[in-house]
Amino acid sequence: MKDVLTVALPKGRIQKDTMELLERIGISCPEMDGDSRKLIFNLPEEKMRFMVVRATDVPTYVEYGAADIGVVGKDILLEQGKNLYEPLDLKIGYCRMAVAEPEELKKKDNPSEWTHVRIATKFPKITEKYFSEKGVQVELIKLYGSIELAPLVGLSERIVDLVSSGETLKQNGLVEVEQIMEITSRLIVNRASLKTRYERINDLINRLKSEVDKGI
Amino acid sequence: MRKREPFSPTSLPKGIRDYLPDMAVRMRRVEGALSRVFELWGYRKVITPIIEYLDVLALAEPGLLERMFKFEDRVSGKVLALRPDITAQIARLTATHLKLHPKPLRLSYSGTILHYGESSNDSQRVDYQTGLELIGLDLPEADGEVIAISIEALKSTGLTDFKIDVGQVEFFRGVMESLNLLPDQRKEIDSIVARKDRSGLEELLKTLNLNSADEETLLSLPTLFGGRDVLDRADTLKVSGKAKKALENLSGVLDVVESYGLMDYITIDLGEIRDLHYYTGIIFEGFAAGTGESICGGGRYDALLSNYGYDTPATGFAINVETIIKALENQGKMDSGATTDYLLVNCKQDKRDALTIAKYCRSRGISVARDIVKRDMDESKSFAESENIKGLLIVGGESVSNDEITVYNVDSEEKTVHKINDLLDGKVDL
Repeated sequence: MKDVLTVALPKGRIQKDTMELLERIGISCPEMDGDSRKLIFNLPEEKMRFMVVRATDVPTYVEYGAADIGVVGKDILLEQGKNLYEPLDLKIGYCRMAVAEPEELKKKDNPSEWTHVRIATKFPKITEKYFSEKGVQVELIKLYGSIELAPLVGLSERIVDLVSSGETLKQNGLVEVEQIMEITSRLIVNRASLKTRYERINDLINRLKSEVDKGI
Repeated sequence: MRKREPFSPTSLPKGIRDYLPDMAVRMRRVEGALSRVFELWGYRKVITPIIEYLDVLALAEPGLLERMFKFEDRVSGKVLALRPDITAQIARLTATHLKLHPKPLRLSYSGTILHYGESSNDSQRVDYQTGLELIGLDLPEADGEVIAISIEALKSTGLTDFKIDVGQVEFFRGVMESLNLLPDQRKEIDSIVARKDRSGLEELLKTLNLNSADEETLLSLPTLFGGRDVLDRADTLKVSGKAKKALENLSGVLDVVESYGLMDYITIDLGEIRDLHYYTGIIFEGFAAGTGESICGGGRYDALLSNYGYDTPATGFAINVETIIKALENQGKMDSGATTDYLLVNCKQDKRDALTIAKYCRSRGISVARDIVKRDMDESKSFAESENIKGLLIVGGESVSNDEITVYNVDSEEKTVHKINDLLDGKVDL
């Protein structure tokens, strides 16, 4: 067991994109492509195993060493602030974190005049840090999903959320007013794993890095 | 109105816990093994208080201020704190009581420290630490000795697959000081290098306008980890005199460790920046395969004692006993924590035979607990099992004669019958 490298992947698109990247360096797990409901996929010939978990849980598995490495969005890393290494930007899962508000509000709104805002978000820490650096007081409403709903029913004036195509915002009559940061997925590594198995993990990082640097 | 949570009269504060017998025994065994190794290297134990003045503890490391539990001394009105670290206490103790003592001083300690946890994990506020300090020497052999002891101490607990990761804080400081960066930029690089975020560093460098040699040095920081080849790679970089000196020092320390024949346990990381600012040279941290958190940590702190009025160099480390137990469990190397050899059941009216046997066993170092309660043999057996007792000694009973004793092994369920007199004459192996 101790020679097996455990990788935690977030269920969904990032999982697919990561596996595509791994395939380019010769690591593939066809079993994962099916409709399997398994949570752990063993790859004995590579001495690896993959576990598929919720994106927000990936850093936790890696921090405690239940997984040696993982892949997770920068948004989640910043929000959770865990003690981890994040040696590589995989340049997948691109999106941006932005402040959005109803179209109506935007017409007369001037972000530089904000002094106090009420924001619904899944990312209270990032939001608070962003606004406090601008000197704006922020009243946070932490939600776990369907953030776009909040301004429509008067729960908050604005939201901070991830935007990729902008389609969800548009369908709910919201527009982006400020971009907070660009987000991509990162390779993260447990500290003890990196120290006790640096040759293997470093080799994996370097092979992935040269693929990422090539672009798609 | 927010309702107050109902308060349970038996609850403990967050992050604080009791240790029941199985765990307490393991803690004592691990602590005993570590302390024994420290003794074998000539270190002598000191005991420091759990409470001190806040200001005195904070002298060592202002960063500890917000992590300490604080309260008021009703008599003096001063603020007291529970110790979050023992190194600072050893520094104070040495600078006061042992200032005139010939150097070097080799001191060790074991004790509980208390602190608020990290912001991301406040579930552990108490640690039981065993550690040592080598005071009065700034030679590489001193650091080499301390690193060698940490390895021997960890080995003595039964742990096998672990590494001591060695760095030198002056290398990173030397590199950074020569760059003329603004404090904000410096802070950002600190945090990027601590995360080994190569991609983030590449992005940041685009905004900094450094010359190509400095860029190369910075970009290498998150990759300068691994075996001894790290030093060769670092040597090719154009760095300041301070950074060069740090590399020479690290190399000298590793030579000592090599002479002890312990290089297999060593990894090197020049991009490691420990949270505590009191380190001034070599730093190191232990990691065990299968355990996410570090298992020990230490390094050189040449300026710490001068905070207490005694300007002398020092180096040392501490091991968190509980983390070692976790690591041993993860590697399947932790014993059961059993301490009692036999439960003594007397089936006869007369207690004298039973108590003579108990006395005999104890005098031979075999631990025996009397099953004072009258109950079924099966109940006695399950009691022994639940108390982690290895076997039963049954004096008398139905199927044996009056001068016989039955030895029952809880695990194997095997029974052997012996004459009581044979046992007392030392003819029975218990």
